[in-house]
Amino acid sequence: MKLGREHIRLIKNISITVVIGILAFILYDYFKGDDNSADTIADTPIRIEAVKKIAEIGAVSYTDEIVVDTVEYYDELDEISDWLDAYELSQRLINRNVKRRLTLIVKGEIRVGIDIRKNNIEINRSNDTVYLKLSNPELLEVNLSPSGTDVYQEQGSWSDKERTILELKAKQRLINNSVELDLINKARVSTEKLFKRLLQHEKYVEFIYPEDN
Amino acid sequence: MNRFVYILILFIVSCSSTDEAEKASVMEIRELGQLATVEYTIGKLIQLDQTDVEWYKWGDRKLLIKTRATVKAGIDLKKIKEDDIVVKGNTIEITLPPAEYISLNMDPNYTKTEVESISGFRDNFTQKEKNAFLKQGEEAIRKDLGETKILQDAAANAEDIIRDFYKELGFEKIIIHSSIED
Repeated sequence: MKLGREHIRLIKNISITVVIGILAFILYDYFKGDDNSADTIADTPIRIEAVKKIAEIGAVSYTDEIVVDTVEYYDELDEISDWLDAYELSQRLINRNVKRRLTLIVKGEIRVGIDIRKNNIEINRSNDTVYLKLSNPELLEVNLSPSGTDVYQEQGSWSDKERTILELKAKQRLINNSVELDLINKARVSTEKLFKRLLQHEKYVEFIYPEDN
Repeated sequence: MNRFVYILILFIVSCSSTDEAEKASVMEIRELGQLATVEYTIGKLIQLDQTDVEWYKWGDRKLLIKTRATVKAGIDLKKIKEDDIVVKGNTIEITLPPAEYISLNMDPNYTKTEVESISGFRDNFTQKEKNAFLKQGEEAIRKDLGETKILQDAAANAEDIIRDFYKELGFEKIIIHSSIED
């Protein structure tokens, strides 16, 4: 069967369309950037750097999500370096003059309780009463982790140091909140409940704190 | 006219160079009863090599992040039931709950990019990408924790602490049973 001119033209058109399609895909993929967040990291072993024996009674935990945001604007109108710089002009117009922006959502946990090794609890007994002298609860740790951190928006280039500053800001915000929430007193109540559980066989248990003396 | 409108818009939106805003949202306060008895400091290298990419992407991207995690383990004292403690004169017998992980902390201060190599026409790593790789690193640490002795150490240390506590209370014989997690 001999191909007619119409068939040859059809094949040519299909071929050109396919080539244009491939080129368009390559250009799209090339310009859309290098976001490869889904790539898998290499399987490197963990290294145990230190093992420490501790004795901390975690009485209360406070979990919160903190939003920390840093925005940097283009300075002044007269600092437009180049009126022909399409990128800068588009940033100023479309992004409302925002030059760079980084917003993180940081989920962190604060644990409050008593370090019984450091403060050493004191136990005394008199007749049927146990006197337990405890130190005041304190902030034991502030836990942040990448799984609890999300980059909500990122515009422009940001260094690791700048990102760390934001994360530490979120950490400080958590600490400040924990003070406002009076977690120390809540931890006291919770700690007493725990010791009562351990001393359930005792008739009376009395708790003494440093300022009670 | 158009230029005038543009200048006016710019004038209105122009302001100070840096502005920061923070706000808190979801929060939860929980009563705990955890006795943390061991702390492991764990180092992990997060390594990524993007050399095998599409042929039309010229250049490589390599990343090496050093990170450190602090993991605490211990026992949950709230899981001690009434019949887990038996007292007979000067002897006390207690069954402790199994050791468990209490917390994992990856302090941002100890996360450092050691190598960030970009060549050709490739883009720099964004913070979003780095965070995604750090998440994978954290997941790998959690997975590899099972190969360490952290839970055994936590259980042994918990026994020591509980023993010292009851000894201080005046008990002469302290029998401790540690249960094992299924």
